[in-house]
Amino acid sequence: MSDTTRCGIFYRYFSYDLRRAWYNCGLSAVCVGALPLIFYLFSLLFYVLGLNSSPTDSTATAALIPVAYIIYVLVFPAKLYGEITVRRTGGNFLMLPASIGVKFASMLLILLLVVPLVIAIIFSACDLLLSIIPSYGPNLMARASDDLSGLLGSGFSMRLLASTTIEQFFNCVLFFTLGAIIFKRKKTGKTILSYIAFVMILVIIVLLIANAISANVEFETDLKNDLSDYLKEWHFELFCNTVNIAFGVLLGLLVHRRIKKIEL
Amino acid sequence: MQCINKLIHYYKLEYYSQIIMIRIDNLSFSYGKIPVLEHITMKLEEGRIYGLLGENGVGKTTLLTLLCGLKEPDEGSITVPGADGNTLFNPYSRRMKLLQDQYYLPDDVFGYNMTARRYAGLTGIFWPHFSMENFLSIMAELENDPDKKMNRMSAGQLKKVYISFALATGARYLYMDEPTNGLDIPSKAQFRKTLLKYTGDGTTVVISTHQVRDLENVIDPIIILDRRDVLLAASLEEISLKLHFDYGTTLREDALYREQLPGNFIQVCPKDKNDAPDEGKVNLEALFNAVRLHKDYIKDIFKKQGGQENE
Repeated sequence: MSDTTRCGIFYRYFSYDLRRAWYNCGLSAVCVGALPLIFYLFSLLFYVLGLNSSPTDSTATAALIPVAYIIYVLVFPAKLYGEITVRRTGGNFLMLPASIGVKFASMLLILLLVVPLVIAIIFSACDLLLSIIPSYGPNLMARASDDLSGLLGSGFSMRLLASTTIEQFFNCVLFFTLGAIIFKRKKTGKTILSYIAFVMILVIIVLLIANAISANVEFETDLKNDLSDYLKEWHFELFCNTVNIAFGVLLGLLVHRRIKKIEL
Repeated sequence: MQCINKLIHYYKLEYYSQIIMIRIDNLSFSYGKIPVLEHITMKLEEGRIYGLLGENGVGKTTLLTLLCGLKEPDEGSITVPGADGNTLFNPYSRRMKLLQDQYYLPDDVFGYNMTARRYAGLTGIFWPHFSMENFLSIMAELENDPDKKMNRMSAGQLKKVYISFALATGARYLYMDEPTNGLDIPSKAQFRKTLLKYTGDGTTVVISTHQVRDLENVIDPIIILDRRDVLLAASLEEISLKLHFDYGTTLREDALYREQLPGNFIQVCPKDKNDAPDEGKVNLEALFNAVRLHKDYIKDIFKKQGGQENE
């Protein structure tokens, strides 16, 4: 592939960024992915020492999924790209000969796809490995298929669950990436506070809208039913996806703008 | 008709002679409400090694970061000609074509968790004229180990890695902020040698420094910044046309600055008609002190000269 074509330039930058990501937080990604194994080994140690009645099973591993999710969202954006705001390291990123678009696209790919995928693969591999041990029980995939079939039987939309989860993950990562490249110090703490403030504002807005809607509705039924009817009319699933995607696009644009305009 | 053609030709020549310069027009920059640079106008010619001098906090680093596009001017503009000679770039736009042509070496550099060789191999591919061979040669000349991890290097060793990298990029514009800070005495001499050896005629280098003695035989022209203003921007030749550097033992009454050296004095005096064509070397430290003590006088005599780059 020619190095002067757009694809060539992107490929070159992406492979550079990937290696940089590996140097920056390769070990951390492996550690987060290996959480089930680490957790199991600790529980085994406690069991051997007589502090625990038995080593953990795959239920505990399932509980580690949100832990890994939270660690990823809170730590990795700042670890991977937080250095942009630091003078001694940010200059290297900003002065590297590649367009803003290429840098942005590579950043999105690494944060939203590559590193989460690596962590997920390691996590699943650890889970599969542990499932060999009889006391551990079935692996997460087997457990999930059982649980989800129960959920689907009760009329739950699997598509909505999957799309919303992915979109929410993307939005959270983008929000914390934005925080990492805006705040110069105490990036994670300040972003968490911003997130809380943002959610509070959002709740207030939603409540105000809900009140406005209920004021216009002349039915005798309670607000909950009214809203439910309205939401059914608006195609709830489509509405959720649209809101999530629009929010994600907005966050993406803000990240792009920040990279473009950042001054050191 | 012939007259019009001549006129067009003249303006074309004028245009292209201007385009090979970095132009700073009416540049102002402030940190919040604190102004650092105010209405600065300058031209930086191709192929010169500019020394940017000034006291602490006068805006040397700020000017460098503005030149390389890490900051946006509040007012005014900077235009940098591209490699083709026809395109003019605003550095703050951070266009890839311009970034490929420049390298900024900050004062405070970071030690990555990888060897210098690995860093150069990984990063150098983005500069079209980067030469790994040159990088390793410069590293060898600076007596630095390319296979040592950067995060285990001392500040001086790390600086040498970045200096080697900067010179190996083959960039047309090199902006260096205090490059000799942290270097030991032999490395400072090696730095001067390698700077001259590995920068071509088309390379414009701007070096901000406090250590004028480290770069005395390298930098020309000199830019001396004062608070918000440029006090002096002139080549060594222009300086020696206006100022006389007396290394004698007789004290002169008209000396703008005088300092005792072992066995003699260094005195900076206005050039007199009776002074012989100057053979005396420009002493940058004495010049800097003379300029600092007689700001208005220096600005005045260099304005009269007409050849001064600071308009």
